[in-house]
Amino acid sequence: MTKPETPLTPDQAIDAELSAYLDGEVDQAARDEIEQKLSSHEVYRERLQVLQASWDLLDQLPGSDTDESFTRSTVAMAALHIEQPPTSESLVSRQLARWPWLRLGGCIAASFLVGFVAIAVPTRIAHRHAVKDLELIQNFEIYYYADSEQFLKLLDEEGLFAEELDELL
Amino acid sequence: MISDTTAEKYIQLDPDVRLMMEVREDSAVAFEELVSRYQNRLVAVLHHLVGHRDQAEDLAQEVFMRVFRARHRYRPGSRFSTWLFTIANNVASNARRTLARRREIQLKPADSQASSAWGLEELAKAASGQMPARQLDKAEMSEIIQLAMQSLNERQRMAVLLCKFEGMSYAEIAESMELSPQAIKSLLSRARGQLRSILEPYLRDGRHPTDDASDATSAFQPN
Repeated sequence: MTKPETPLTPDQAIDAELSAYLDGEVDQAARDEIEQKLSSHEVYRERLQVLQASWDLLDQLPGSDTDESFTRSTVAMAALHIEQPPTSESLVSRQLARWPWLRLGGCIAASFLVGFVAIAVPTRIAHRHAVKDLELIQNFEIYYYADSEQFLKLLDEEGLFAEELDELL
Repeated sequence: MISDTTAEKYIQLDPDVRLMMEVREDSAVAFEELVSRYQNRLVAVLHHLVGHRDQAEDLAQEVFMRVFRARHRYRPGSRFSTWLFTIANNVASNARRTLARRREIQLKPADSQASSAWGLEELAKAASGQMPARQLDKAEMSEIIQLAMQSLNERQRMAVLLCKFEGMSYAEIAESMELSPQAIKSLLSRARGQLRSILEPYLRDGRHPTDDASDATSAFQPN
């Protein structure tokens, strides 16, 4: 957002009017009015002369004297541009730059994938442990009363307390 | 969207547009001719904008390369120089932004739009301002004028260069700088006023403008 310009002082207003006049950027009516002022106000004339003189001093600014080597190197760069067209990788990156919604969609998809992996994997691991312990959970009462797996195996081999065990199950 | 009538008008009016139409058809000879015609002017403008000759040449080549890369899409909606300096203005602006980010020592701006304008005190430090008033030779005159240009902000400087050395109208400068003609009018009037205030002591009495730096008043503050 540009800052609003400060209002012109009377001096600046005169400079604005005379600058546009010197640059030929005033209409006929404005030109007539300015020339009327110039003919009748010495201060106005002096101001115009100083404005014009300081403008003319800019002709003393150093110019540029680039030589043929600049031309040759520039044309060579252009020729190189023709001979080496953009690579497919840079084409992809340019496509992405041209279509920002592609980048946005990619970011959203990547976010979903990361979120899915972050939540689903630990959940599946936890479920796997639960499945592994399912037999223990289902036969908890037996193990609780028997107090020893080895003891249960001995009972089973001897065929002792088979009915009581079935009732518990 | 540029109409066929407008395009045809500029093709008829501007020989450089006709050259660019040949470049559009991949004519290397036409491209070389355009570079040759504009390189000095372009480097000069960019030099006054960025202050470094080598950088100005690099930027000028960047401008020409952008022209070349855009050749197949070129459609004349203005004079060729207007389009060229629109690109130059953009390249210079990008370069200044990059330079500003890299700068370790920041110049203190007078306001948000005068990011590289110098006040009279800074000019006195930059120039041989400690020397007493004396007869000024041509080299010093050149120095004074360059200092006066440095007292302008970047937009004012660009507008002055395009108006003075490219002979562009306010409408063409507005198109190149992507501003309104009224904004250009304001830029140029303030720039001329600033140049007048800096150079008037030299014009009247042959004095170096920084000889009176200690007495600088608000009249010498940059815009």
